[in-house]
Amino acid sequence: MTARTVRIWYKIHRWTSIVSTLFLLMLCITGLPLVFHHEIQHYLHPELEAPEMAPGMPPAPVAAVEAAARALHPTEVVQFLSWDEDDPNLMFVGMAPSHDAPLDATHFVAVDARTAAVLAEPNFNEGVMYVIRTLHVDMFAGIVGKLFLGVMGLLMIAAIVSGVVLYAPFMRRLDFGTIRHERGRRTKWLDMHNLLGIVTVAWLTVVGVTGVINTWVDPIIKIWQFGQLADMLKPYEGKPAPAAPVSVDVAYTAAKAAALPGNIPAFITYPGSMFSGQHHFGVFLRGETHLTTKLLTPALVDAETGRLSDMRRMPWYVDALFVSQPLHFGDYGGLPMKILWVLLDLISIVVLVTGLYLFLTRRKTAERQLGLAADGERALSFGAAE
Amino acid sequence: MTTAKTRQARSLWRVFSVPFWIAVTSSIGLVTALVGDGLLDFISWVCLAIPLVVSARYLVSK
Repeated sequence: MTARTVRIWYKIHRWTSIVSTLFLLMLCITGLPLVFHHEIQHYLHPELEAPEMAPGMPPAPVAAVEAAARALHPTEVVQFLSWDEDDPNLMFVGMAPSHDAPLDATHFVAVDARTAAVLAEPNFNEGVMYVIRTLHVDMFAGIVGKLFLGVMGLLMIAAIVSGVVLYAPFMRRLDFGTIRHERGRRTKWLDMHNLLGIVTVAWLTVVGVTGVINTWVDPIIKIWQFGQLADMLKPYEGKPAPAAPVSVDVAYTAAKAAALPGNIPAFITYPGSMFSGQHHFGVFLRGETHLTTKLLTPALVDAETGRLSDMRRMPWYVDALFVSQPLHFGDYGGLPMKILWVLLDLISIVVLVTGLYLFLTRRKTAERQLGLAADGERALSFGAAE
Repeated sequence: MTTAKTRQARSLWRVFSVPFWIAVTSSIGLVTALVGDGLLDFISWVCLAIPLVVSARYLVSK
């Protein structure tokens, strides 16, 4: 690797880092409490738990759950109902003034799945965790914010790749793990930056790539709506919404009958919702293993006849989005994994901060030592001096 | 006869061998918990703890 090559990689590393570091720091810092988002929600909203009851109680009819929510808001429409991923006894009914209402008009009624009793009407769009989550996801800038953060993620990946390339010349004459305390703070922090950076490469790359994929959620869903969903709804194009739709229980039964073994319903969208069209219930099924729990199979049930009209696995790009979620959140390996996730996040923060320090205190002498001086090229080829 | 290329490769491996194995075990750790529970979770925790243990060891020693 010639001095010129090193210089190019150094420039790539420096510039991709400079542009993205502050945003990445924001993401890492807001990410820390988000690892425990679930636990924090449980603590802040104790009413959002299905109460202890006799085990093995059968679930109430889904229509009863819907009715309980409707009773609270008789003039509104039901957009969907869903089962909590961790507790099947806890259900949420999503309601809004109309099907055309903006997304943030949707609110939730939490209902016990066994008794159909209303538990609470949580508002997820308020509080400290709401602010932290929204900052992390899109900096309160909607789709533009998401895509911008996605670009920052891509810059981080370029910084990681260039960082790994630069690890070689910097560590050429040092044993792994060397931290030179005797050469002053800058050298010490450089060695720390290199060590902590290189040992977390795999984790940070996975969290970064899955983070970027998650910023593409809106376009991915749109592509699905105009692609697979439109295809499944083609036979119904132009047909008006049914005047007397069947009960959601009929749709639920039809979908479960057709479902592959091991698939359970994750959520059901109602006719008029953008996820199943004017004429259908969308019963979205999922698997029960860590991996398949995120992979959805929509079963479209005709709301007029109550019969299944189509059922397909969602396409690969939706799967990629859903598989990216556990890999990004670190919530699939129990409490020890969450703790490790937080510690690895803290190390990443140190890598970013030491990197920032190194940039702010950069001096021409250091760069010359690396053989990056504009005057004359020095070969940094490996093994040549041995 | 050790050519310059062999010396180059050996030197590169000397620099990257430990980071390489840490990256491999980290990746294994990320995937195993995804495909199952119990023992697979435990393997995942051990693998993901390696970068932390290695960092602590070298940061603390003087």
